[in-house]
Amino acid sequence: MAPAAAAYEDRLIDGGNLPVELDVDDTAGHSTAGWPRAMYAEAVASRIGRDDASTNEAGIRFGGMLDTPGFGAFTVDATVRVAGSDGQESGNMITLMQRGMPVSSEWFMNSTVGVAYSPMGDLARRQARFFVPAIQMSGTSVEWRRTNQVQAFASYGEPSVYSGVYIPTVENLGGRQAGAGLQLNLDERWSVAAQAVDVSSVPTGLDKSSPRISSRSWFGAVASEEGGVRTQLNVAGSSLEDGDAAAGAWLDAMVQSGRISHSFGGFYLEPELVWGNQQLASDATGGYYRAAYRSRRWTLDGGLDYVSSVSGDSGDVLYGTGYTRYQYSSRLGYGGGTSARQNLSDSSLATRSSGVDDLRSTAWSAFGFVDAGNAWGIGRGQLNYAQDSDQDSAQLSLDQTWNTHVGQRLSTSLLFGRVDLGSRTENSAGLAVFGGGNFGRNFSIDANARWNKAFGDADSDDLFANLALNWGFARGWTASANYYQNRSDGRFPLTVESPVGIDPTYERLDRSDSGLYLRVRYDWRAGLRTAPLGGSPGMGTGRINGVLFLDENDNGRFDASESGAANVVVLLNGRFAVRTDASGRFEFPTVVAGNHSLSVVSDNLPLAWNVPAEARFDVRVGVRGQSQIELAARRQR
Amino acid sequence: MYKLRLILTSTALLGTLGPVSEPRAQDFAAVVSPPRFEIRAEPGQRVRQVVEITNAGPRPSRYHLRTADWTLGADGGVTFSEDMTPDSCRSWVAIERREIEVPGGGRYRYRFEVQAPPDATRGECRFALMIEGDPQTVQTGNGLPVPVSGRIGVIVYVTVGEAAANLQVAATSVADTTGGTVPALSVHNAGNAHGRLNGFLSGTDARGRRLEFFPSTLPILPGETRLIPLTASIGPDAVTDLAYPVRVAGIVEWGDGRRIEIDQLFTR
Repeated sequence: MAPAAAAYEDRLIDGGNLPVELDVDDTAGHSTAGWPRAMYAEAVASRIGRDDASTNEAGIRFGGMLDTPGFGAFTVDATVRVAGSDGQESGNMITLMQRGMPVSSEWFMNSTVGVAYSPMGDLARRQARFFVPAIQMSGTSVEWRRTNQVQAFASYGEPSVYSGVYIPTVENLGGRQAGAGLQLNLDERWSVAAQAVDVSSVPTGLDKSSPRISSRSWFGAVASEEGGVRTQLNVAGSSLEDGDAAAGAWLDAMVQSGRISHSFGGFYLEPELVWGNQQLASDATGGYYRAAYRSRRWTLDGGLDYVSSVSGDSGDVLYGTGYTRYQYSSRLGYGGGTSARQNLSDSSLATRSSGVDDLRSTAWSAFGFVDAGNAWGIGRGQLNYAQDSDQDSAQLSLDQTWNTHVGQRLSTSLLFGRVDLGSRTENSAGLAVFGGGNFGRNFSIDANARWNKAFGDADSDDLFANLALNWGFARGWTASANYYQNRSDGRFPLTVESPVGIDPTYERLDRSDSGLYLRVRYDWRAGLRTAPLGGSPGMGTGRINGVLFLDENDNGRFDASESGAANVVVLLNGRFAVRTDASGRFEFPTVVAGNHSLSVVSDNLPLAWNVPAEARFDVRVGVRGQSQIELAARRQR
Repeated sequence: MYKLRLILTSTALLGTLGPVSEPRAQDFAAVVSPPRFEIRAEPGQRVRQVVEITNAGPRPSRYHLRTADWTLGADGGVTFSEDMTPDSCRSWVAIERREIEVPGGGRYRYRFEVQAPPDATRGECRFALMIEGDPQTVQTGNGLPVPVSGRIGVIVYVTVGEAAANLQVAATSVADTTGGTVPALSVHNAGNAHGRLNGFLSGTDARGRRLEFFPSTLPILPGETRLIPLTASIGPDAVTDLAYPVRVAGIVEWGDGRRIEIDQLFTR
C-alpha cells in the first residue's frame, strides 16, 4: 500500500517575510467610556463674487450626535456666519434634533428646536397630487407617536429662510406661526387626521419686504387601505385676516389590480386657498387618472388630467402623458414618452406671469432614449422635442457613466440643442462632467462642470463649475477647498408639465457668481467603540457618503448635467439627521457595518421635486468601508 | 503571444467543520473584499493581487490561509479539497504568509501572486484562497464540546491565453427547485473558460398567463454541462406554480454579447 501523499504546502512570497499591511481603526484610541457620541467642528472662510459685488464670509460650524439608551438620539447643528463689509449679512443658526425618545413603554417623542419645519401628519405627507407645504421657521416642533396608532404634533416659531452660501444660516422673516395636529390610525384599515396652522404678519415671499399675511388654515384627511385598494379624502380651508375664506377637497385613490396599478382622483379647490403663508394649489377643479405597469422588462405608465378654473379666470386644460421603457437584453433598454397640454377654452383666458410660460397654454413634448451597457460603462442617449405657441425646441443628450476603479467615479454628458423662437433660431451645445475619487487613504477630489453655449443671435454661454478637494492631514482633521463658478443667462429648456398639483418655482435670473471656500474640520467620537451609530456592541464601523440630487431624466443615476439639492434633511434609520450641503452632499462618518436605510425629509426640496415620505434607500456599509449612495428626487410628471 | 487572464471571484462561503447542529464560530467575523475582480498578464509575468481581510469583531482574530482546489456541485454548492487535482494551478500560486492576526475593526491587505509558466497552455484552471479562523469549541445539543471554525473561500479562476466560454444549449427539461418546478436549460460549455447566462425570456403557461423568465447565473465551467433553471415572474412577483406545458421564447446572452435563441415548449 502506497503511503498517503503529503498535503500540499503553499509557496510563500519572499519566504513569508513581506511587511504587514494593516489598517487599524484610527478612532479606536478615543475614550470608550460612556454613550456613543460624535462631534465635528469646522472653521470656514469663503469669498463669493456675484455680478459686480463680492462678499467675504467667515464662520464656524459645529455639529454632534449622541445616542442614549433612555432618551433617544440627539443631533445638533450650529453655524455662526460673519459676512458683508460691515457685518450686515451676518447670522447664526442652531438646530437641536431629537429622535426616538421613549416617553413610556408605548410613546416616543421626536422634537426639534432651532431651524424647524411645521410638522406634518403622515396622511398630509402622503399625497399623490397636491402637496401640503411645510413652513420653515426658527422655533420648535414636537411630535409624539404611540407605536403605530397615534401621532400628535405641534410647532411654534418665526418663519425663516436659508441664507448664506457655504455657511448656511437663516434669516428670520418676522411674524409667527403656530400649528398642531393629530392623526389616529383607528385599525389596520382606517386612519384619520386633522391639523391646523395659524400665521400672523408673515411675508408671502422669501424676504421681509414681501407683502405680509395673517391666516388660519386647517387640513383634514381620512384614509382607508385594504386589499390593494387605498383611498384618501382630503379637505382643507383657510381664512385671511380680512375675512376672505377658501376651502377645497380632493380625493385620491389607488388600486393595485394584478400587474397594473390605477390611481385616480378628483378635486375642487377654491381660489386663494393658502396654507399658512404659502399657496396651496387653488382655483382648480377637475380629475385625473393614471395607470402603471412594471415588470422586470417593462415599465409603462400613462395618465390623463383635466383641470378647470373655479373662478373662470383661466381656461379648461386637458393634459396627457405616457411613458414606456423596455429592457431588451441585459445590456440594452429603450423607451420614450410624450406629454401634451391642450387649452380647451379661449386662449385669451390663459394667464401669463412675467417671464414664465404659463402652464395652461397649449404645448406638447416627446422624448425617446436608449440605455446601453457598453465596454466603458452605461450610456444613455436621449432626444427631446417640445413645442408651445412661442417656440419649438429639440435637444439631444448623451450621458455616460464610466467604469472606474472602486472609490472613483466619472460621468459625462453631451448636449446639443436647437430652439426656434419664430423670429430667430438658436443652436446650443453643452458639455458636463462629474467625477472624482479617493486617492490614497487621505485625499479625495470631486469635480463637477457644466458648460452650455448658445450660438447665433443669443451668443451666450452658461457655465457652472465646482471643484472640491479633501485632505485628511492628521487623525481626525480634514482640510477642504472648494471653488465654484456659475454664469447663467437664465434660460431653461421648455418642459410640458401637468397643470394639476404642480407649483413650479422656476427662477429665471441672469446671474454670474463665483466662490472660493476653505474649510478645516475636526471629527471626534467617543463612547463605546463597540456601539457606533445604529449599532450594537461588538460591531465595526464604516462611512456613508451620499448626494441628494434632482433626477432630471428619471434614470436614477446622478448624471453630470444634474444638480444636488441643498439644505435637505437626510435621516439614517429614521433616527440620526444630517443636512445636505450646498452641493446636495451629506455624510454619516461613523456608522455600524451592515444594512441601513436612509430617508429624506423633503420639506425643503424645491417643488415639484419630491422624495416620497415612505421611500427608503437601502445602503450596506462595510467595516472601515465607504459607501457611496445617490438619492434621487423625482419630478412629478 | 499568449496572454494570461486571471479572473478572481470572491464568494462568501462560510462553512463549518464538525457534525453539529447549527454550529457557530462565535468569533469568526471576517469580511473579505473585493467580491470580484479580473486581471490580465502575459505568460511568464508574475501577477500580484491583494485581498482585504477585515475583522468585523471587537477582539483580535487569528486567520490561517492556504490554497485549495474546489468543485461545483449540481446545486451550485462549492466543495473544497486540500488534495491537489490533476489540472490544479495551485503550484503557480504563492501566498503572503500562512497565518495573520487582525485586531478588532482592523483591515489586513493580504497579498498573493500567480506566476503562469512561460509554456502555459491556453485554457482555464481554478483554485481557492481559504481563510479560516481559529477553531472554537461549542456545545452541541447533547452537551458535547465540538471544535468548529469559520472559513471563507475566495474562488479564483485563472484563464490563460485568449480563452473564452462557448455555451450551447444541449437539452431542455424541467427541474425541481426551491422555487417550484421550473423550465431548465442544460447548457454545455464547449469553450476553455467558464461562462454564465443572463438575459430575459418571455413565455406563456397552460393557464394562459404571460410570464417573464430569467436564467440562473450559475457559472458553467469548461467542458461541463450544467442545468440552468429559468425563474418565472409576473410583473415583480416570482411565480412558483407554473402550469405545464410552458412555452418559453427569447434570447439568452453570455460573454461579450453572445446570444442563444430559445423557442421551446416545456412539458413535465
